[in-house]
Amino acid sequence: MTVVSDPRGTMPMRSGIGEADYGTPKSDSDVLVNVTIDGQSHLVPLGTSIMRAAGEAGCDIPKLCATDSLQPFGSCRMCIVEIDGRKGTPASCTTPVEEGMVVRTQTAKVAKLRKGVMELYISDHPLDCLTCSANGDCELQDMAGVSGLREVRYGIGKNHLDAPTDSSNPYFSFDESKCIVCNRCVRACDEVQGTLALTIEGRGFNSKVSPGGLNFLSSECVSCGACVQACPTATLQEKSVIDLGMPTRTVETTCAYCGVGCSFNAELRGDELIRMVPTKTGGANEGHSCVKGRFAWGYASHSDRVTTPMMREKITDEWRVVSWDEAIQFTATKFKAIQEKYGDNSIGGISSSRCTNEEIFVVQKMVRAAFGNNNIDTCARVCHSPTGYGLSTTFGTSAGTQDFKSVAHSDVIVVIGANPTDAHPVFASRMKRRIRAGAKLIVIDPRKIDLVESAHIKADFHLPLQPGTNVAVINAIAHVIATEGLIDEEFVSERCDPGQFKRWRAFIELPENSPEVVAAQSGVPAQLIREAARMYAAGNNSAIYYGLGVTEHSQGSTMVMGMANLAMATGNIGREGVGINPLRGQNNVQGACDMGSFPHELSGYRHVSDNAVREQFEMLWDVKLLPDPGMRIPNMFDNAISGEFRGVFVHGEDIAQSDPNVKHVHRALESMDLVVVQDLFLNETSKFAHVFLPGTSFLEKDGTFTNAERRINRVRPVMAARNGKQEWQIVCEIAQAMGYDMHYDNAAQIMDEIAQITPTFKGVSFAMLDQVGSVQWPCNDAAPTGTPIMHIDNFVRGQGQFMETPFVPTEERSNRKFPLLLTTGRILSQYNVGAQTRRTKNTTWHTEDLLEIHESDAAMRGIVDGQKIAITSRIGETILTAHVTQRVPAGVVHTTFHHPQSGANVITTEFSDWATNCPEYKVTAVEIRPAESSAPATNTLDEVLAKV
Amino acid sequence: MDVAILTRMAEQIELNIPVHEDTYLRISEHLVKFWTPQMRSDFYQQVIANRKDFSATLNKVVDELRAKANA
Amino acid sequence: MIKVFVPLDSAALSVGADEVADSIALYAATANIEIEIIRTGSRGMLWLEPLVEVETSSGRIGFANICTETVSELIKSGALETGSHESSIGLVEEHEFFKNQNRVTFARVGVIDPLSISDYENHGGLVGLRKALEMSSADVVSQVTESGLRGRGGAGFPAGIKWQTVLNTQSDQKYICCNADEGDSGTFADRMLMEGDPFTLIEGMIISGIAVGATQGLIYVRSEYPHAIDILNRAIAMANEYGLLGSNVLGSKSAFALEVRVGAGSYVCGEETAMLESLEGKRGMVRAKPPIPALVGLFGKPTVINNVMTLSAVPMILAQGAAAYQALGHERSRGTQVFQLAGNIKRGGVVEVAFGITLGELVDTYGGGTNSGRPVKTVQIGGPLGAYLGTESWDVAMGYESLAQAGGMLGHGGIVVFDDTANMAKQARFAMEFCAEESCGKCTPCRIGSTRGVEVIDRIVAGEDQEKNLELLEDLCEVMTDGSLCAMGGLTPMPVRSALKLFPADFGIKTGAKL
Repeated sequence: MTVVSDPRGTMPMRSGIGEADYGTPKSDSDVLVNVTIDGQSHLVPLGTSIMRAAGEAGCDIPKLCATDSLQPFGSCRMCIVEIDGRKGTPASCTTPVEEGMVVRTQTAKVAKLRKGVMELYISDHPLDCLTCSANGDCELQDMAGVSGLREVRYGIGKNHLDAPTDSSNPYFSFDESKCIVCNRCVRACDEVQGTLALTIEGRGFNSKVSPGGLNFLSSECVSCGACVQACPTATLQEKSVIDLGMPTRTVETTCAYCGVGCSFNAELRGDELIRMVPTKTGGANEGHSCVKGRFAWGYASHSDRVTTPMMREKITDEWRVVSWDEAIQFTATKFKAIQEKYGDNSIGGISSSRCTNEEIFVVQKMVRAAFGNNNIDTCARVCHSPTGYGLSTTFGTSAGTQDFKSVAHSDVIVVIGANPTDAHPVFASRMKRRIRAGAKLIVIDPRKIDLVESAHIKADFHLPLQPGTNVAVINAIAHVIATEGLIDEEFVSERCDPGQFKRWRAFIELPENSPEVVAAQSGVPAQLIREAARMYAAGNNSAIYYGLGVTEHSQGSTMVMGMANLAMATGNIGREGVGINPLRGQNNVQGACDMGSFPHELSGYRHVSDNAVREQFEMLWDVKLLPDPGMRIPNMFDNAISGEFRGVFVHGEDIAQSDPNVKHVHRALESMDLVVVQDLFLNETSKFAHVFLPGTSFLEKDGTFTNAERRINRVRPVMAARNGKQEWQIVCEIAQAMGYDMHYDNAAQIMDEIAQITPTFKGVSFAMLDQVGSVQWPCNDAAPTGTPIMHIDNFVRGQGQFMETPFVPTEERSNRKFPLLLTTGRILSQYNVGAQTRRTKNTTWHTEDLLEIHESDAAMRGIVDGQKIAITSRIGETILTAHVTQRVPAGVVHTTFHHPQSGANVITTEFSDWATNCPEYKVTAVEIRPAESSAPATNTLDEVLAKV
Repeated sequence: MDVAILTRMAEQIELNIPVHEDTYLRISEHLVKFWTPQMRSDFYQQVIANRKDFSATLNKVVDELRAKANA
Repeated sequence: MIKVFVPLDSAALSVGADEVADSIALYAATANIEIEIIRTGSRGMLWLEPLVEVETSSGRIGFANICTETVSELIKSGALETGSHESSIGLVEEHEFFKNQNRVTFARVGVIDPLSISDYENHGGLVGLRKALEMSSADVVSQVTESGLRGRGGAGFPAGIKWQTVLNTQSDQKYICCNADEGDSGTFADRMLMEGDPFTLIEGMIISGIAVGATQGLIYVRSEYPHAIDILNRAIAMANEYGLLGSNVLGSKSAFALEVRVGAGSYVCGEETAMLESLEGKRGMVRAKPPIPALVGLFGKPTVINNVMTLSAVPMILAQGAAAYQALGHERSRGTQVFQLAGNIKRGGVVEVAFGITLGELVDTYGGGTNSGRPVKTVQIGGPLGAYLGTESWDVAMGYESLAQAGGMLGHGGIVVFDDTANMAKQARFAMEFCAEESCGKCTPCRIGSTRGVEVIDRIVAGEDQEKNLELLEDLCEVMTDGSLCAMGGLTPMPVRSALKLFPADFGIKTGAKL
């Protein structure tokens, strides 16, 4: 673990890379064996390679093809050693230690061989070290030094020095002339990423790394960067390093894209970020990354960034740049004026899952303490609020049950309404590794997502259900388990509430929940449901992973409870390899929920009506708190339109683009007297704003993010804040200006306050995180090192609570006028509304949102691939380009929402989850037709709205 | 807030909570836990004024909640 | 009814055996002679092919080098009945090339119809398997261990010990993989056995499966052997039908399934771990050992990998007992070896004799010297990466250790003969070139070293900085020998070093120059 005491401090770097490399993976064996290396004896776990044993003992053996993120390969022959009593010179990477083994790593014989091998390498390598982009960060260079090679005697012979460079990928280049064919890139693509895009082409001297196809860009490559990281030379090199040179300092921080929460070393020179390299010590990613985290950080310095506060009287006025003081005073004064005129309840705030725990905590504190109401909601409302409701009702905790590592122990993996290879790629790689090693896979999703069938992965069962029928299908699966005697009666009787179980059992065994009945509703053949149910129940360890395809429905909360029921009924809770695991969309959805930014809950999921809890906060904050829940986001909009809600502080969320039925949202925003937006860029929401407060990018923030596995990761300021202030400071200053004394010297103090008032965070502090790297809550006296797996002996709520889950179909149904069902999702290279990724070279892969449509639906309407089409719901209409495919079933269309001009939410409806009001993004009845003109649509959101 | 929206929300909650003797209690709990006081009182007024338009369960929910509030 | 035997072996087919068979049938019909033509393997006397045999009361009489033109004459002359004809070589098994051989593995090759299970049984087939089915796994393994059988693929590892390792390893699935990727120059014994007596191999693999607890066998055959592949596939289909293969081998509780897999023209796939990769559908790249395939083999499961000759020796060992096999041989090389004589040789073919025969006997007595009639310059034993030996090694007894002591390597038992016109610098260069061509490209010494080897030899031959380049070549050979991942790169220096040592003049090196 790298320890950073001064967050801006410089850390020593080894050859430009921060972390030690022991050459081969760690052995998990408990058995220790004694091995003597160069005269020193060491105890190491059985299964450890000689190379690793030597490296851990501080005596590095030369190596080129070995790296500890990959299985040993044994090709470079630099790591050969001599072993007493054995013939020859075995490779130390592929030879495991044995009890009593005596190894010599430095002998005249191996020295001569290493030098001879190095002479061969250099006989086919350009001699341009001084001008090479990897100069100082090249293992070949290091090893040439170590081997003592002074002369290459082979003269001019066959070589690859004129081999071309492939620069097709926007972020890295492949210079074949420098390739030493160590296979590390090929193996990384296989073992780490699991895409298998790279291979070795040709034999012998003609062996070369090949991405298949024309070049990297046109290949299967997903640009995760694993190959670039694995490359020991300049062959695969970040273009930023080629352009700017080697970094000189490193700050460890956390990615701000999806809920996986990968740890990265930001490598800089001065204040200039050169590259982001995933860290092997990162608890969530263990050295892996995806195209977004690894490469798509350029938006942070994009010219669109707004770095000064701006104001205007009316939203039709031009923006006026103002000082921080003026902006803050204006905001505070106006909020207070509104409250004086319309009452305390007339304003509120919306916190963002993109921000740090500290920022979120401060925003909700401002609302509760300075605004004096509970009108605080978070953007998690529109994604994972049903997870909170469902899992706290059944298990007692509003969070996933496992750590990511747990999937390595799963025998049956069920993926429901999630597309991990696109939306959570680093976790998907872990999952694929386990599936390739033999775990069974069940995919429940309308679409044939990549996991259903891709390189070396094939789902055992794919249940292509009609959008909106999740609950019917999960009930049918449970029905099979209950009626075929597959219930883990022992687990249920020991761990669950018997009365609730009895009720549930009676309900689930009803014929209406049988696969045969559900088949008609869901379109999934009964036999498929039965077999999938049996497979889930039969697994020693069966785990469910799910995404927004579960939550963003009018029965989202019911579905979450349905999955929890299933896990309880089969005893798949409370150990490695099992559980119910939400894949969170944004970096800090978990944190936003934990920090008390729902209107009914204080931090740690404690209801505002709990007098004892409220009193603690009141004492600490020296303010009176309201005991009743405040408004949810949709309530705020509804009340804005009816004139009761008149001012809002929107923290880093583009509600005018990302919330459903944007027409309604726009009307709400237009109705308000004060809309304050804090963000990096002007966005759709800021069009309705009176005050724009510039925010900080994740590279400037100091704080923590909590990922989908409850892991609290440090976010460290890599560079100075461009706007001159941390976001929590801005919030505090507004509160101060409104008359509530709210002050912190630094972000660490905010976490200290969180820990002081939140039992599940009691043991957390920046100092502690800097020491251990990361920790999974609950982290307190009972679990000082955190809690990777929850509900081990007991459920947090005591007894597991089975809940009846009647299937209530959505009112949004296809009909003659709107015969197709639209569902939405994400693509690998883009992220949500695209505010960040559209401002990076990731646009190379996804220049516009496409509408996937089944070929039969397309043919019926005379639509061809690539054609502009109009898509209409009863709410609105927008224009998209058709992608004719078999990836969606007939009757279902799918699009992404990464580009504002696509206006996917122009057509989504006001329907929402019955329990949490999470919008039903995943089901909209639509009709499509060829657009009038085939000219590129110039449909900005405004124009579309004007038309509707 | 528009009472039509509140009505729809309440009816959707009722639809999704299975019918048992204690259903009205679960709906009441839900409204107390997640609805603002204003939403609740607007809804009570709506029900009291138009009792016939609401199910027996929702009528019972409102009676229960009002009784509790007065207690 | 006259029984006429015409070989269907590829070597015989290449000189017109099929046409000969058709022709015999045609002329016999025309002449109204009732005959039965039986297609067999080859006797291994390749210079006599097509060798047509007829059954007589005193035994089978052979007619050598028959072609379509001589068939009518042969039939008209009544030779099919009398056995006398100018092409007659008399009783085949009394031929001087044949009579002193000790045919154990090849006992039925050339004798029986390769696709007749009854023929196979009538000639002693399935005796070993039936015995094995009565024995415990451990006893079968100890029979093989006691026989002294060693791997005939080249490494000479004791088969019984390998089997014991697989037997001792717990696993839900184990495999028997037969390496029939016979890629060495001058070797053809595997092919001849698969074409001439496939059931011996099948029986050997079933016994191996019973011995170690494997129920699935795979035969990895090089794509250049279409006839062998066809015959194996047909034999396997017959064996399945007969109940020899399947879930109850010969009615027992043992199960064994067998499949043929075809290689893709890569020499290195004859290396056992590269073969496993290829069998798994991956690029034929060598794996590092450990783990050894006996523990972690095909699809990660314990796997017996043996050569065709190794597995085909097993039925006889079981049938006649380990002691009978063990009684044959020389020092630690027990049993018989199927030598293959090729290259510039008068009488090329298969010689199966007990270990211990001298190199000179094989080349001169059996092979009859060079085909060109010129003096023998050298022989290469063990394939393209085997060492060259000169006539001064004529008295070396053929065996794993004795040959190694003389600087050679038995390999797969192929002996390629060169006369005094051969240029050994070219041969040394060819060894490096072959390696450069066939290297899987995984390890550096083999991948780059072989190409550099060609270049350095060229410089030596061209007289450039001879002393320095000779030193460099020696260093390179050391790096390749000691540094390569597998035998491909590791053995390439053998022909190079031996050629250089025996025939420096061919490299343009003056006598007395420092080597």
